[in-house]
Amino acid sequence: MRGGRRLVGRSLPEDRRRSVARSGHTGSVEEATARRAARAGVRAAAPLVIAVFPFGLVYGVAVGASSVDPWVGGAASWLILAGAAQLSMLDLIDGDAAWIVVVSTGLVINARFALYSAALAPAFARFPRRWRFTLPYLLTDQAAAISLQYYEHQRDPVARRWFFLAGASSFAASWWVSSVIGVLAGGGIPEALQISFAVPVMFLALLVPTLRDRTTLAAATVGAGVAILGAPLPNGINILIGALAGIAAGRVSDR
Amino acid sequence: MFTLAGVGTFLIRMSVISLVGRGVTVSPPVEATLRLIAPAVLAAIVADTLVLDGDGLNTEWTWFVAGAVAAGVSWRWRSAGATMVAGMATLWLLLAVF
Repeated sequence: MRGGRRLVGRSLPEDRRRSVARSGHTGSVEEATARRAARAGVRAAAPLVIAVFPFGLVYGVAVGASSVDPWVGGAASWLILAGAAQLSMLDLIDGDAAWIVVVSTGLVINARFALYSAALAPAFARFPRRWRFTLPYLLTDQAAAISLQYYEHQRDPVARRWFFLAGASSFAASWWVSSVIGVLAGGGIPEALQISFAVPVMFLALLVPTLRDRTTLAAATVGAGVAILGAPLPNGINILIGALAGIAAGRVSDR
Repeated sequence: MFTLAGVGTFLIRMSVISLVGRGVTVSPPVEATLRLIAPAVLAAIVADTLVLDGDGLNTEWTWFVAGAVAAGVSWRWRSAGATMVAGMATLWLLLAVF
């Protein structure tokens, strides 16, 4: 928000700036909105941030056990910021797959982000350019899910972008820290705890609040069913096809 | 390789967002489609991470029971924190007993 105010300060003549400060308080109202929205974002993310942590540990441990340089594996968390894709790519690199196979597998698994991009686009369209072209870096399943939920009852673009920034950064930070700890800790995490179960539970916690009526329920049921049927397909493709089938089924059930 | 995939992933994330600019209005049928994206994608991921294990089916019944409890808690209380606690607690309880 401070950046935005500086911009206003530069573009307005001195006398007008003073009158805005005296009468409207636009700057401070906006700042309060932003701060409130950012807090709401962190609060919404908090329980799920804890769930991202074991996922990151699993990835970090996998990096340590693989032939990939730990620095390179760790850097992937910054470059890609998507657990499922990183894990599959790691697996392929370890199996000496051709680079084109590795890269395209990662991209196929992340193709679902195009769907989130579409879902968020109407809200993001009202953000300033520099927000619109930087925030998508932080777009993850978790960030998309909590933001879409928040946007249903929050129409203010200022609140919307600060909520996304704060919530999505929380997930990203958790992912970065936990994957580094995983690399360093190696196999120090007891297998018996089955912490990887936190991953499906986290996605359940994101999914269930989106089920509000017949159409969303139809979309979810078909999405899950097709993803299971598509199990023999390469990693990520079953999710993509399941999602598309689910969306189609939801639209049909709406008729 | 990670760099290439990272750039590609960023472009995917940016894709539709960069195309839809200010002043674009979303028609009702498009909006109805957009609101199905989250449930469809998330359900597919839940199915993939809970029900599947590699190419085959997951045979850990404890996961299904704990998953069902977590889903029930989420449905009733709509709280991500309560869902996480209920799911993990149920799993650990089952693992301790059986």
